[in-house]
Amino acid sequence: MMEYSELIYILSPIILVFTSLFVLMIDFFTSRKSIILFSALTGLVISAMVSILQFISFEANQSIFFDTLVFDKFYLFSAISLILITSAILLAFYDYIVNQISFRSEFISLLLLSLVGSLFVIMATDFITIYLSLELSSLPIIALIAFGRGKFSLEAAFKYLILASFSTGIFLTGVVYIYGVTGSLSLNNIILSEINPAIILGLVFLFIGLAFKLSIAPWHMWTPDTYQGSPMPIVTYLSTGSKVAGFALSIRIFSEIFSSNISFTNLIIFLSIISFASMTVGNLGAILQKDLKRLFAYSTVAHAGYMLVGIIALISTKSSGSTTLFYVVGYAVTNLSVFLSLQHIINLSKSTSIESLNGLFKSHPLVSIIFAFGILSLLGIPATVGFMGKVLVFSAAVNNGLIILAIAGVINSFISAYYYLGLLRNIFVSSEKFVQKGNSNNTYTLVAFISTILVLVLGVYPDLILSSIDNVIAEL
Amino acid sequence: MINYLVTITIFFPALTAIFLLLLNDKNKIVFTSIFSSVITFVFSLFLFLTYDKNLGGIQYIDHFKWIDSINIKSSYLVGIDGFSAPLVLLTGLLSLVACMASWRIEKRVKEYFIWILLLETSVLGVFTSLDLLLFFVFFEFELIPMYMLISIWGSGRKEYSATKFVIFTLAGGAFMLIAILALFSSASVTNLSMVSIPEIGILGIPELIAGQKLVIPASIIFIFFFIAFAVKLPLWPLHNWLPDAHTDAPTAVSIMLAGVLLKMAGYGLFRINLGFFQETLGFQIFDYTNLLVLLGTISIIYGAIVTLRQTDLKRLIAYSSISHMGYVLLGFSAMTNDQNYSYYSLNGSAMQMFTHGTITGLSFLTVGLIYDRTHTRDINKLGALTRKMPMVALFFMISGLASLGLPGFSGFVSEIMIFLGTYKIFPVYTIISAFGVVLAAAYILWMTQRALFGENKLKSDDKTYDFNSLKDASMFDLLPAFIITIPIILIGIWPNIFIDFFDLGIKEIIR
Repeated sequence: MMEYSELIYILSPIILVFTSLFVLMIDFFTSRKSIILFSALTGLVISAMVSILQFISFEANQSIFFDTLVFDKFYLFSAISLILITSAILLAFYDYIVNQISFRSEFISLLLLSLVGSLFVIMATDFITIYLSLELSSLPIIALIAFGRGKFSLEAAFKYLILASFSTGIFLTGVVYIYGVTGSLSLNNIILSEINPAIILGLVFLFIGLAFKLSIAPWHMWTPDTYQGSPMPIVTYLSTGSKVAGFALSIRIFSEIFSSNISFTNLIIFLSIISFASMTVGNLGAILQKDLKRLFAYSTVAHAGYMLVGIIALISTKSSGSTTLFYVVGYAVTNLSVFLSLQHIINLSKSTSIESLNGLFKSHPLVSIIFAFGILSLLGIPATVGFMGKVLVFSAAVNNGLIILAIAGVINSFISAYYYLGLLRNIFVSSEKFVQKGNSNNTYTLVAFISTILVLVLGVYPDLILSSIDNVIAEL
Repeated sequence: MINYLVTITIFFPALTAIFLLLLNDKNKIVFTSIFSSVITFVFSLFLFLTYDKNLGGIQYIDHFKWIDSINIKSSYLVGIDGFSAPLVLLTGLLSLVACMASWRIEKRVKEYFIWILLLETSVLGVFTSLDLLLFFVFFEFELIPMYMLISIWGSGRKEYSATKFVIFTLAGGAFMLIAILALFSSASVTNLSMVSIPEIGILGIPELIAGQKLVIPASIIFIFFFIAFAVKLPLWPLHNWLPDAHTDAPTAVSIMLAGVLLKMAGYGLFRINLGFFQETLGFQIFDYTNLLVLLGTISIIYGAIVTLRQTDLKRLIAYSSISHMGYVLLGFSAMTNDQNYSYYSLNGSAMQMFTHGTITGLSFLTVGLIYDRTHTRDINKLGALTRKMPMVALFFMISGLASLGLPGFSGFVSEIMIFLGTYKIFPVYTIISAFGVVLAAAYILWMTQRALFGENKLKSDDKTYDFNSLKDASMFDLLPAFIITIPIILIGIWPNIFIDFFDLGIKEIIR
């Protein structure tokens, strides 16, 4: 039975919805740009505080709204990371949104709505709710991509639209199969007692639907084009917030469905091949790129492959899910600093080509160092969070007998050294002079600096969040 | 005992590197870095001298919980034992020499010293860390300083060489990471400590995997570790990166690379490959020494033959390093279950690591001094340098003679120990390897004869340098060479100071 007191559990999404509407309305009454952003940030901070308070005073898992949503530590942890990441993006891109976006209140409002969708994605335990919240999180993104003023923006938005609808269709097909066999749409009630070809087919379809959103190869085709055409705040959101939400959903689905003792060997082999393909396609694709945004798009594809390793291990052992959660949070923090410093550099050079990085260190040492730490973390050099994430994910793989997958992952991260080091070479070693064509705002470097500190702190002392992540996954 | 001394020693250079960020004056930066490396050297010397040989075991332990997750457990565990104490001393010594040898550097001075100091921290970390994951962290971290040092301050095809170095080492590191994770996947492995420390109740991996069935066969784990160290050692056929990296690196970096970085691999072979795989089920290192000795012998002979053909001084020393590090593996492979039987060769192998560090350090230092003055390393353009720079030539001769194993210098001690030990077990390989010494005599004497003595071979129309205006190195240039010569001669005369240590360390590794 539903009670109104259950609304307290979804307080932070509610706050965000009201903030989003408030931001939309306030545009009619004031022309001051800062008020819009200030109110959006206030709403985000309040909802983050609410989530943190709920996390601290958490008592027990609650199934709410007729068992369609679940309120647990896993949701709260992911929600806190998501809201903080979005606040950091809005704060850092203040300058960008004010100067380069024509409809700023609509832009912010849509971004907040997408965030609300992502929060419900993490909470949802029913396939219909999952479907609805996935739509809520991805539809605003399509509009947001089209806000860009570049010549590729419309193309990017249209590609994302087509592929998002296509992937949702496949996702729903998978749901139909699972419903047909188990007779239930709720994750809690789906118990796979036997291996049925229809179940495997359903799970594969379900996974492919998700793989589109997570830009896992071979369903990654939209990623480079979309990254190239979208406004940078949206690129940053897609590669950080969106990833956290998507992988959190995968962890939830996979850990709920596979809690039985049946071994899904075929599915594991299928997913392993996909994961391997994603790493390889991502890394080899990145080597060929000449545009920074496209390069990082391919690097996202590769990292999605690494994160998938933890999800595969999750099928055998539930506790392995914590590795993916740690990886994706660390990856989001790293990418935040990478994309913010990248935007700073793009503002300076007015170009996104790799050559435009040449000689950056001599003229702008601070942003170069921040950018370099981000790259080193993506490469997985010790003392950064990227290294810890990789160690954890591959250890989960080896612990579950997937040593070949771990070897593939390690070899891949070794291949990725080629292009990441190439970037470092342009920044630090190149003797050419940096061509400065514009000016930039220091907010990018400031926020990027904070996330770089997080990258290093979590890399040196991962136990800071790792123990709570283990705890969160155990209570799933 | 002083608490946290090892931790302070490891991180003192890194802290200085952070402090350097505040400085802007070139002289202050150079002075601070040299001062810091002196302090670190004093720390390492103090650790070496105060290590209680009667007590043995691991001393100066620092232990904190680090990562405590379901998926991996690891702790910050550092300390020194008889095997690592001399290597820590070597690192302190060679870092001091490297810093002193770089005082003339003009280009981007601040960054240069920051990277050198970070490099020192990571090498010290490798030699002192007793937790496998921590060991790996330091082992990999060294890549970034090296990449920057070679690719920015190097010469010739510096970017190519730096990238090649990083790619080879990363590939080796990839194998090591897999091996570490594979070890941890076994149920019996509950922590990643590389040694057992009864005082604080830690059981190390050697005990934990003894007689246990591992999830991944022990032989595969062994090979993965071995590949990682073979790249770094470097062992034929994985040696390809070394000549390039050495030739194009600046002097101080060559000293660090040959002097201490290659020793990390030797250290890993002893600590991990020998330490872990003595009582594992179905695979013991003692049964596979035939393969190791073959690789070692090929390295020795191959390295020596290729060295003969070199005309670039730095490249020549680089190839001779391959040959000399082959002796480390030769001595390493002549082991049996019986401690006393393999005493000589294992000890000699460890000694070879130390002596090669000092000798090659001196070689690269003097070649750097020659290059600074003549702007060439091509033997065909040198000659008669003794007339113009007698002191540099003297130190170059010392390093050459020590390198070919002349009695009275340290090289002789380690080589004779290796041969004495291996002859009992692998007579044929020992005889073949002994030809390496003959070849070494050939390339060293031939090189010194062409470069230092005879007539100057610079063509009259070649303006690379002016032979008549060549000057000998200043006192400050020669000081590091003098410092590094002390252990070379000291060990030659009185090898026991180090043999005692290695003996203690190796006896604890072989149980």
